[in-house]
Amino acid sequence: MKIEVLSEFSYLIRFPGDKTCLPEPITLGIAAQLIRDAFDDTWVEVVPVFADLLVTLSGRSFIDGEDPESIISGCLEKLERQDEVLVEPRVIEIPACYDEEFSDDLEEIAEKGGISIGEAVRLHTEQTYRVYAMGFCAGFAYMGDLPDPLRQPRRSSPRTKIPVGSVAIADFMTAVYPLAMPGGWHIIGRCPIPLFNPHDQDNPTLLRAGDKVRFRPIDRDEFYKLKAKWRN
Amino acid sequence: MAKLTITRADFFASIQDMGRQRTQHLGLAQSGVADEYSFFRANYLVGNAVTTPVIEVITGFFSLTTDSPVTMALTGADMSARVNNAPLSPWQSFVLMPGKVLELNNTTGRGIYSYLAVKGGFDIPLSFKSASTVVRENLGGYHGRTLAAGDVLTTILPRPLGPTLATPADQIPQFDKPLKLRIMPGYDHDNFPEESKKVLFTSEYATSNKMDRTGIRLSGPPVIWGQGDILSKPVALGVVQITNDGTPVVLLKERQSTGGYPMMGVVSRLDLFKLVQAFPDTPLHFSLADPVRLRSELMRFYNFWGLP
Repeated sequence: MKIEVLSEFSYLIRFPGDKTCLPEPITLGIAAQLIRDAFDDTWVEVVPVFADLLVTLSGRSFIDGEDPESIISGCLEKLERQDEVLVEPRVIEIPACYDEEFSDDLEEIAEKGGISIGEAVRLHTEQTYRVYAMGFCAGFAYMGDLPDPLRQPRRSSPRTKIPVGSVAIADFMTAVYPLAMPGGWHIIGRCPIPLFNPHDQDNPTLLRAGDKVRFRPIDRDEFYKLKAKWRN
Repeated sequence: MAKLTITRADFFASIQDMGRQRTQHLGLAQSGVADEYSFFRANYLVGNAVTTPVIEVITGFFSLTTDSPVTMALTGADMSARVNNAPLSPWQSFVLMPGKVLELNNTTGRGIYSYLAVKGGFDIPLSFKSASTVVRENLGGYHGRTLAAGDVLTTILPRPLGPTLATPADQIPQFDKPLKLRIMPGYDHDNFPEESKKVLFTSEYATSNKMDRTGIRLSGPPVIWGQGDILSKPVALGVVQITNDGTPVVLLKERQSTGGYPMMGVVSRLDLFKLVQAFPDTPLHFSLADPVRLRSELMRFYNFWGLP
């Protein structure tokens, strides 16, 4: 791991890994927590994204006491001393309806992968995904890795609006749209439960970096039942 | 308590403060005022804590009235402000009387973002500890959206009007000057071809009209990455990312928290407050800078305003 001074109050911590061999997100998640604990009330942002961790501190961290860079080094040494992962990732189940009403691009994805629609749904729901990063918008989780036959590059022309709850795939990743947003990912289903709840100020997102995620296939009846339940 | 009624908001006016903290790892935007200097000054002039939420008006075309006397201050971009058709001097506090209309008119070429502070502040609920509006997340501000004609904002407390204050002339920024942007090299800087780095740091660039609260695209010679796709990274405030066609884009407070384009480094935060105010086609040059030196400078800036 390498610590880089990024800007006035920020550091970038680079973990070894690339697109073909990503670090375990839970490792970055633990590092993030160690750093938050170490800086207590003077951290501003600690953001894990794939193989990098952005640490932004308040100006107060630089006034007196230990050099922030050595505090971060200390956290990373502590992380490396842990022989085994002491924190098990949470496993979150996401209900998803793959009915044609919600899956505009599923047929095309199946066709390009040389598989049936049923097979595509089976592949998507049998995989356990890891949340590599949160980004794009509130509650949006970049999850991977997608089984090979489902992998397709982003659409050449993005949609101007992807409906809330859309289950989408692109490249080696899958995600659920927490808000209606423009996007170039392929839509293969829809999730009836909220991924972002602004009224829960302490815990507003269903997912966090480091979580493990599985999709549970549901039919339209259950979709609308869950949707109604969450509306209240 | 005074009620302020928005009578015109043609373009983009929103409630902003210092933005959100400790939420980017959940995907939320940082948000907050684009120009912190003008923001602090506006609050200072009305005797508020300098981080009190204000109205941020982008390129004018905005007006409001009040139902009782309020002390206000207008800073930032010069939008030929008037009160009932009489020119209003910006960068000083004034009292707006009931029945009078405060208007921010057309742009003058001197600045993009204006800040309107009111003594006592607005009664705006906080969302994740900030009043800053993010339209795409429907968060903060006035019901999560920009202000519109007919909206009514309430001030928090009945306050004595207090003395009016003015800003010394040498502390009023000029927003129509060429820019020098200091970049702290980082992210993918070392992996760019030498020739591309030379292009970025020796050529003249200019701001373009492709700008909003998320970022500003620059025009000028393309900066070639010439390598494959890279893994997305967390995006700090002020990142200079290079798009596929070689365009440098400086990312601002309403940026997304992740980005997949190669990034050259981070622009000095104090320089960003000037960049956001620059009209399209303002010439600019980049230079390399040492983060430790810029840190001292930034800490002096916040200390000046009594902030940690």
